[in-house]
Amino acid sequence: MEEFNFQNRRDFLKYFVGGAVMLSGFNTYSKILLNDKKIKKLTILYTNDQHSRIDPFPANDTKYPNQGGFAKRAALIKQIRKEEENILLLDAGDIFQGTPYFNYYHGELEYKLMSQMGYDATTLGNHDFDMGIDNLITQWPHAGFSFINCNYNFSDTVLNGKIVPHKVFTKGGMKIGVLGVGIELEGLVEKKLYGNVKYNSPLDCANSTAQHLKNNLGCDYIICLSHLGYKYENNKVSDITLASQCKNIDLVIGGHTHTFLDEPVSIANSLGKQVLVTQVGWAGIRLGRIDIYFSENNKKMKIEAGSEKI
Amino acid sequence: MIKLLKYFLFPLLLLSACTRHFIPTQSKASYYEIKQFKSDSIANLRISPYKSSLDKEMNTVIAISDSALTKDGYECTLGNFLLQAVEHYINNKSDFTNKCVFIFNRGGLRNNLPSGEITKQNIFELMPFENEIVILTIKGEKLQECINAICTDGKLISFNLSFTIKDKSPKEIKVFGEDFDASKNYYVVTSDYHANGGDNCTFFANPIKSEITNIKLRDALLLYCNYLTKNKTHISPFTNGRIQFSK
Repeated sequence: MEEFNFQNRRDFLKYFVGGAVMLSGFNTYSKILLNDKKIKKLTILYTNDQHSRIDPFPANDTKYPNQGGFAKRAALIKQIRKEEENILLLDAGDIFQGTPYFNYYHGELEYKLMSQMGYDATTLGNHDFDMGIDNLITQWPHAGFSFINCNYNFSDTVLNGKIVPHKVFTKGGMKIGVLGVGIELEGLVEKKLYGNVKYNSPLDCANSTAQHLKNNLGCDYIICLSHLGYKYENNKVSDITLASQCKNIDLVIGGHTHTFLDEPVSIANSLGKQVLVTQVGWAGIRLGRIDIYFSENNKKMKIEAGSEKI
Repeated sequence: MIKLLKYFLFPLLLLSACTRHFIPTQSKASYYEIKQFKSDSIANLRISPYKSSLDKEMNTVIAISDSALTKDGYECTLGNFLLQAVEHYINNKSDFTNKCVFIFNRGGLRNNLPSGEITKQNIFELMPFENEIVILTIKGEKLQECINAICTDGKLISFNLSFTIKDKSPKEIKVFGEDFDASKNYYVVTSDYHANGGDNCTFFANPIKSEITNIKLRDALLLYCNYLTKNKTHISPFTNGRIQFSK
């Protein structure tokens, strides 16, 4: 698809050598930690607002020339899978809408490629309703991953029973609880498209779901996939509101506002505990990564959030 | 004995279920820029039949632009291009000769247009939505609400309206160059998305009249590009200062 010319090759090597240096540093760091058998590592990879950007942006794009592309991301993820044992690959919604791929094929290829990359789960963004809930059902067979949302009530729709409020992923013995929240659809999406999907308070639903994941299902770490938006000037509920008012959520992977956060933002929750909020822009221009080290004994250590561009 | 076991085991099981086996101790965050990677060949194989059939149609150059169009600024070049295209369609609609106000949203413009050759793909990415043009007849007071909304958050873009924004409120409103009259009715050209309340356009609810044109915004853009090219004209981005700010 893309010519692998000399210029590209040089950049590619520079990039990879740079990456390798960084990663070897990373590996030493992780080796020290992982030598202790009681320490386990989880690698969370994530995207948001992919917006049907199957191909990279063209070379003459005003903002993101040659950036993004599903096939490049697929190669990267394949590479990371060779290096890491416990990977969770997540998305925060708005997979659909933005290029003719969606107008002509209605999201089929997006779902197929995400399934091939081994995505574990996504949540629903407002644009995922752009061809109606019937289209979500039509594309359903192509999606080999879970759809997670706890604040939309689907009981009066064809999606009833298909979208789960939460899911527990067991990776290397660790129980990772994932929940999802979506934005208010009224005034944003046409009623005829979302039909009888009912919106409930994302804060209430997220808190009760996270509590269930922690207390009843015994999750070690809780991730919220959110399509609420990073933050707003008015009092509209956002990821910042969610993080500051939640109790059991450890990480919010957000979307909707297409916010490029170079590193996750740390917010104190209602109990004073730090919650990470992250988002990687849109269009698959970036793939986010968070490595979490878990200790098997109950010795509490300080949670640090560092960030670097790989 | 069994009773005793039950009594002792039950709380124990409960306790173990509640205990966190793994405690998160450290996290390290980073991101990859998806730029100079080699593509995955299997993914490429999967994409290729879809891509080749789309490319045939989408790579057609349909217009030339003198410079790039963006949605930066209160009155933006990209928004003005959309408004020109829709106005062109409305002006050529033989059964409609009234003067209209045009209202669309900035958020609906999904990608910038580059300088130079504009392909069909560019127009699809600018306007991927399937929304159609509607012509509403609304009361002046409703148009006032709409103009207020434009001044409050800058989400909506307009054409044939000029005003000065002071403290997020409109002053000296003119419609087609004439003083705005709240007691009059006005024709508003917008999309069915807004007419149905999208972007909280509540002022478009229950209009005096609503005419559905059955033409998509994207098709109006494509038709306008064809018209320009046929007449050997380029897209020439402009802003005309119809919205002013006052302190």
